[in-house]
Amino acid sequence: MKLTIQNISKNYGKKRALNGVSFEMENGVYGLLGPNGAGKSTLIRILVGVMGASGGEVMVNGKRGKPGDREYRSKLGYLPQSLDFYPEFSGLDYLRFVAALKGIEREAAESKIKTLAEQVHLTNDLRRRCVNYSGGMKRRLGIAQALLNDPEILILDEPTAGLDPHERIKFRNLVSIFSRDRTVLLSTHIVSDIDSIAKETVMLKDGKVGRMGSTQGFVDATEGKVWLMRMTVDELVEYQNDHIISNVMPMGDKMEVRVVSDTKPSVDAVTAAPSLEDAYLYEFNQPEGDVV
Amino acid sequence: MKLFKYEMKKLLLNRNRLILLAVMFVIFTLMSLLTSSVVFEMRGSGDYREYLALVAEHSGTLNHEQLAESKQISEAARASHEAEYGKDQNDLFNAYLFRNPVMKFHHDYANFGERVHEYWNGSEPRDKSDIRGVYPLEEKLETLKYQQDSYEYRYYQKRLETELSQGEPVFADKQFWSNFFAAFDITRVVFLFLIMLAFFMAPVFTRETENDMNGIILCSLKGRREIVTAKLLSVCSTIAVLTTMYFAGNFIGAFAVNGNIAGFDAPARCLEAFRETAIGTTVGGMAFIGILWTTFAALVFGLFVCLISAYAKSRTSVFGLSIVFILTFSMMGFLPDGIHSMIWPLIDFNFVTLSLCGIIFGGSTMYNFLGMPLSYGMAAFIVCIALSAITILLTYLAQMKRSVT
Repeated sequence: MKLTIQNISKNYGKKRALNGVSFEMENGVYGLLGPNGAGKSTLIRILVGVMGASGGEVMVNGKRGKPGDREYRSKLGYLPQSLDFYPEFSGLDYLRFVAALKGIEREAAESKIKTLAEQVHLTNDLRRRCVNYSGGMKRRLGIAQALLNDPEILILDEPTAGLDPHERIKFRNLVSIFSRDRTVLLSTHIVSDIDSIAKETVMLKDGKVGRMGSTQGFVDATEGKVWLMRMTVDELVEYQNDHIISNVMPMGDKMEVRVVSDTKPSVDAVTAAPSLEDAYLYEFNQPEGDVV
Repeated sequence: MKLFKYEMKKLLLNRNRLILLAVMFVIFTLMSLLTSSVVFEMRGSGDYREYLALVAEHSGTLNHEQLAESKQISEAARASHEAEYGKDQNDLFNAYLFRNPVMKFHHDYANFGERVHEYWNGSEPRDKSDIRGVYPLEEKLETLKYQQDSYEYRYYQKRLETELSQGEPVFADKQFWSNFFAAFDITRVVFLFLIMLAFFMAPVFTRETENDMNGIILCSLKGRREIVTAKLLSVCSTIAVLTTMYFAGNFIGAFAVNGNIAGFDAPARCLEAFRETAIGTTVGGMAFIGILWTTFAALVFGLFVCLISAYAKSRTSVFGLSIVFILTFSMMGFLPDGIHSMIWPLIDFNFVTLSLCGIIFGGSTMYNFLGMPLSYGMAAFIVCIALSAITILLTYLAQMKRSVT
């Protein structure tokens, strides 16, 4: 499966939400990173065919096609950013309803629902009304519905919002296993969601692709730009105004500050191994003209 | 079919909706019970048995001797009542009749005599633009005998044929049916039935907009076409259930008061609202036709609400807009003739008028369709089919074009 996004743009009146976004995806997990308002959800809505683009096109295996086409929709699994449920439906009703929407035969649907319910740890809660689920359970139910039809293309918008650390790890593993022979696009602003599983990461900034490359490549590009230094709280308050700080940790009467900077920020600063979070901060704090 | 099952669960087969439906059923029954309750007063009277015996004895065609007697007694009673309470006190006089069943019989029989007279001679003063009565119709056709190809001739000929085929009115006990047919009155149809339909149908599409399910539905294989089919079928099924509940409630209420369904096999023209109907059927047959028609018209209205729902953002706006349409159309009947002649299609074929079987089938209105007189019922049927087809197509189109913002 090869998904090619070519020069996609989207305007809301005079505001340009997406501006010539182009990239390609094959099998594996792709991370879509960007701050709030960068255009991630707009791009995802266009990719799943629930919103029209102002320009550009999406190609599946080199063939031009509209995301709204039946064939494309049959290959798609989608978890939207905000998710709510019918108050009169139980979790089981909801999954059966989505299975019917996806055209899955009854027996296949029942078997798939059983498997997915186990994978997302909802087996014992499936008969409860889903409006009474906790935020995490709702999210897990949302993930299950997205996987019901074994989609060739799985698009997840902020999938881990509301999940506890244990559930996030479970989710990451599930997506990682699932992505072996499928295309997964995972949009988030939580860097750790894709840190260990994304084959490549697309950084979206102000409606444009800021940079795209392997996740490790982003981390490597920040090598030698992450520093650890110590300062007092008063100094930190002053310092954080004009520096990129990725972490602060109390160390006795001082604070250990993790700084992302091209140059050594102080004489006593020592280099540290960069993470994707550092790379993200570095990328999104570059001046506008530096975006590639 | 699977989608239909879940759409039914969303629209009707859930706890909240079923409770609401049960409450509505009780309201329909009580409404019918209360509006028929004057019969209770009559049943409590000692003369009631005599009234029933008199009605049974004089059921059938007009007895001129009985008419003369009833007319004399009825006029004397009215004169006496007017002397005591003054003129223009019809409500008081009607209440008096229900307390005096024998007097009510004479009053009813005198009215029946007038209707027989009108059947042959038309009503006085004669309306030259709308000739009624067998003799005036024959006179009119005589004046048009050299214009037999004209629309006017065909129109009056059809009217005369209808009158002759229906025959002279007959006298019958139809108290239960008079009470039951109040279910077809504009007030109840508008304020109980159509508004309830609008409330039930309002969320059919908007609930997905409100709860963010649209994203998942629209990108699913069956989320553009099949889901609309399932929703439309669920709308039709829900309307069928609601209509059944509405008429069942009204029937039970009227039956609880009257205790019988006498007059079932009397001619439909015995009913006041259908005194000029062109349909040659019995009172029971007309009730059946009325229920079928109201269900059909309700389906058309329900599909229209469904269409609004497909384009609106919230169920409140759908319900509000539906109420605006219902009230506007209801008030159109009160517009002066000058305006009526300009916008008659909107007045004669709007959703409210189409829901009133008394207007559609109770009169002798006809339309000039390519030179041929077309009955109101047939014209309304054609309009309903056309409106349904248009609303269904537009609903599919709305879902095909729908996007998430």
